[in-house]
Formats: sequence, structure tokens, C-alpha cells
Amino acid sequence: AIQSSRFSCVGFPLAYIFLACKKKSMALKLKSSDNKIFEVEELVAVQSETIKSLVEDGCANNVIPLPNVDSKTLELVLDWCKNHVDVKLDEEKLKEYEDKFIEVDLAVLYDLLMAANYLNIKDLLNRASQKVADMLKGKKPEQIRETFNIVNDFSPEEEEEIRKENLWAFEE
Amino acid sequence: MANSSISKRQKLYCREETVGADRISDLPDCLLVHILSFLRTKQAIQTSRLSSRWKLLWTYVPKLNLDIDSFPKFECDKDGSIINFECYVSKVLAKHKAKYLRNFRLKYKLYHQKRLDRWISTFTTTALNLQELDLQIINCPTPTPTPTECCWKLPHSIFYCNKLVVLKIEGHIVLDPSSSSSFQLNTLKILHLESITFANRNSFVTLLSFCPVLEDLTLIIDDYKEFKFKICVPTLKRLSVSYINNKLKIDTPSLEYFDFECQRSYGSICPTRFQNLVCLVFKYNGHNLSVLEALLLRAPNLRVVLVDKIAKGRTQKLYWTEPPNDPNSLLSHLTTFYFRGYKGLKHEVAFVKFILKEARVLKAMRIEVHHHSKLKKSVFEELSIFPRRSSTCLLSVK
Repeated sequence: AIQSSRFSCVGFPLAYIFLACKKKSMALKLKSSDNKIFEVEELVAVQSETIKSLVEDGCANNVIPLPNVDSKTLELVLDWCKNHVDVKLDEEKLKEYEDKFIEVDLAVLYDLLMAANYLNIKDLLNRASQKVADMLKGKKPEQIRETFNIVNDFSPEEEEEIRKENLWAFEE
Repeated sequence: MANSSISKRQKLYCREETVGADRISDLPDCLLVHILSFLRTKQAIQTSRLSSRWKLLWTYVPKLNLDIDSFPKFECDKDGSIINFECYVSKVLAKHKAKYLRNFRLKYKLYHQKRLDRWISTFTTTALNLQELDLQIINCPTPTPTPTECCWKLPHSIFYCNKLVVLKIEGHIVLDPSSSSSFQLNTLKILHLESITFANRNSFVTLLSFCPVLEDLTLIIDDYKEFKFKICVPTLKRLSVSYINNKLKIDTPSLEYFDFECQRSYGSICPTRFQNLVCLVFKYNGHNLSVLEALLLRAPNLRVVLVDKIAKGRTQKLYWTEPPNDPNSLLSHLTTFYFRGYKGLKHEVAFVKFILKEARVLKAMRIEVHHHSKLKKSVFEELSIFPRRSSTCLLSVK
């Protein structure tokens, strides 16, 4: 059955034109720590609260330097942002994208965490944190140390003391 | 001594370079704490053993989730003494830097009322940034149940957490806010009250009067006491009620979403006008179609209606009486209608017929047939011959 109602015939093209005009408005230039310039639509970039406040304060006319993010990471972050512009996107597809996006090795994951924190992109920060948390879940301390290369700097006495005082939490 | 420690460090450094550095521990505190907030409290505490960097991180995690169900009944420590849930909670509360606490959840069986009081007073006086509080208290089975003694009275200190946004209380808790009058829940937006006991007729209204910006209220009552509940909240946007034997008076002009369930026939509802109501979920037990009728008449801007049949009782004697004609407003915005548990009883047919006849912009009508009743096909055939006011309505039967 054809599902077009009276409203959608008239309303849809108008809304579309309006959106298209709005989207065209401005492109921003971002400079990574290794001096690469990225040109992105404002709508994409302002998902970073940090960039958003720069735009709102009128400090985004020239190139915006991002000294804490290298080009490799910035490229990934911007890809994430592009895929999160349209909130009405199919939820399932978005989740699929996110799951695939976050399948990276630890070094990249740390870079993403730092970048999401610095640029203040909440959904990316949460997704990356969730990923690390998932890797911590259900593991014994030795296994966690091995996964993340954490060096145990406790003396045997200290460790025993912590184990003793917090024993109630170490049992599964 | 100094030399050896330097060489040890160099060696360590070299190893890190080749095998892989401990970059996670180099992340700033705020990030590590954020990561730990995605873990259960118990798991977060376990990380204190990793290295000195991690020892105290969990105490800054703004979330605590203490659930007696996730705790083994009897656990012995190394020295053979029994560690119980009470001991665990006390230790966690003592070590946690409560001033960072934003989110606290406790599920507890009511073994030690005094202990519970002490925990609550511990964190309500120190956790000044607490935004979300979720208390679930289960009665422990006693050989001779005495209803009043088995309940725990909610300490008033909770009402002084003036940054609370979400408050959920459930179970054997007595709510009696009326004895003090200077409470302030000025930021509370979400209130969830489930199976709790109200000390007297005014307790509920008094509590609501402390919440000037409340937007979302869930009220689940499952005792048979006949109370009148007056829900008069101008800011309320979402309301879920489930009750048995009460009279409800609802005055919430901003309401957008309404989930209604009455489990008995004798409950009644006295709504005013719902000018902003967009979505109605109506759990229908075969007795209260008249309530649904009253709601439809008072909510001219409804877009989505979901009728969900919940009871199995005898419903044969019911009738759907068509409301008086009001062609200007009734159902004029309804686009989606969903009926779950449809049996094809006389009054149900009459009701669906009425919707098809009146709803002028209806786009989708979905009927989910109760699995014991008539065949899908016959339901579809019966309904598809009814006149439809909307030219774009798609009927589907599942």
C-alpha cells in the first residue's frame, strides 16, 4: 500500500530545502597537532563541545588549532561525528557502525579517549570508556595487568594488605 | 642502592618500549574514573589491587550500586570470619569519597533497620552532589508478620538532598513527609514510587508539593486501601500509574505521555483536560473501557494510542458506548492505534469500529490477536469492511 499522506506531500520538500540551506552555511578548518588541515561542515564539527564554544564565541573564522589531537586520530573522530550528525539515523545501523568503529587496538583506543575528552564529545567518550570497561570486566587482577601492561608496583606486603582489607570485593 | 634502582627503572623502561607501555595508567584520573563508572561497584573496587596508581581510583567513581542479590550469602575472609553484606556496605561507604557521589543505588533486605538508617544518614550528609537515588527495600520473611513493623520509615534526611534529580523508592518503605515542612526537592524531575506505603492520606500530596519542577512520575500502588490520590502537578510531562482500589484525580495540563493501568474494576479516574497529551498507553482489564472513553474525550491532540489487554477475567457483559459526536476535536490527530490482546469480543469490535470511523488522519491500525481467540484472517475480514474516515489508514492484524 502507498503510504503517503496529505502532510508528507507538501511538508517534506519544504523541510528538505530548509535543511539543505541551513547545512550549507559554513565549513570549518581544523588543524591537527601534525599540522594537517581538515575542512569539515560546521554541523559535524560542533558535536565537539570544545569546538562549539569556539564557534559561539566567534573564534572560528580562521583555522582552529587542535594541538592535542594528531591527524590520524582526528580523521577517526571526524568520521564518528559525520555519522552522528543525523540523529534520526536508523538506531540499529548506528549501533552497528559504533561497534565496528570501536574495534581498534589499545593504542588507538587511548588516543580516541584522550581526543574525545579534550574535544568534549560525550557519546564518543562514553563508547570508548565502555569498551575499556568491557575489557576489565570479569577478569582477575593478573589478567587485567597482562592485557593493559600494568606494572604491579606493590610490594608483596602491600598487596597482601590491600587484598586483606578489601577481600569482600575480590571474591566472585 | 641508588644505582640499582636506576638501572631497574631503565630496564623497566626498555621492557615497556619493546613489549608495550602501560599507557592506560597514564590516562588522566578523570578518564580512568569515567571508565570505572561503567563497571559494577564490586568490579570497580577490584581494580584497587592492580597498582598504586589504581589503589584509590574507585573511591572517586560518582556511582555506587550496592545490591544484596549480587552478594553471596555467606562469605569467609582469609581468617575464617564471616563477611556479610552489611559489613561490605559499611566499608564501601566509609572509604568512598562521598562528596563526588552522584548516583546511589541500594537493594537491601530489611535485616537491620538501624544499620540502614545509619548508611542513609552517612551519605545524605556527605554526598551533597547526589543527583540520583534508588532505594529498593525488600522485607525479609518473618514467622509472624506484623505489617507496620516490617516497613522501614524513609529518613527525612533524604529530602534535604537538594540536588536530587531522580528519586526511586520501592518496597517496604513507609513514606511520611508530613511531619516536617521545610523539605526542598527543587531540582527533582523524576519520581518513581513503587509498592510503598503512605503513612496517611496526605503523605503523597505533601511529597508532591515539595517537587516544583517534577516532569516524570511513576506511581505503582498494590495495596487495597482505598485512598484518594490527587496528582496535581502543572509541570508533569510523563505519568505512569498502576493502582487497584483508589480514586485518582489528575490535574496535569502539560502531560504528553500517559501510561495507565487499573487492576480492578472499582478504581476510578477523574481527569481534567489533557490538551498536550500525545501518547496514551492504556492497560485495559476488561472493566475500564469507560475510563478510556473519558480519556479520549479529554485529549484532543492524541497521536498514538496503545491499548493493552491485561486481565483474563470474564468480560462478556461489557459494552462500548459511543461518546457523543464531537467532530471537531475527537481523535482528530490520531495517527497510530495499536491494540494488543484483541479477542474480538463485542465491545472490542465496537470500539475498533468507532476508532476507524472517527480518526481522520489515522495511518496505522495494528491489531494483535490474543493467541486463544479467533483466527487472524477472520478478524481482518471483519474489521476491513468497517468504514474508515482516513484514506491513508493501513490495517494490519498479527
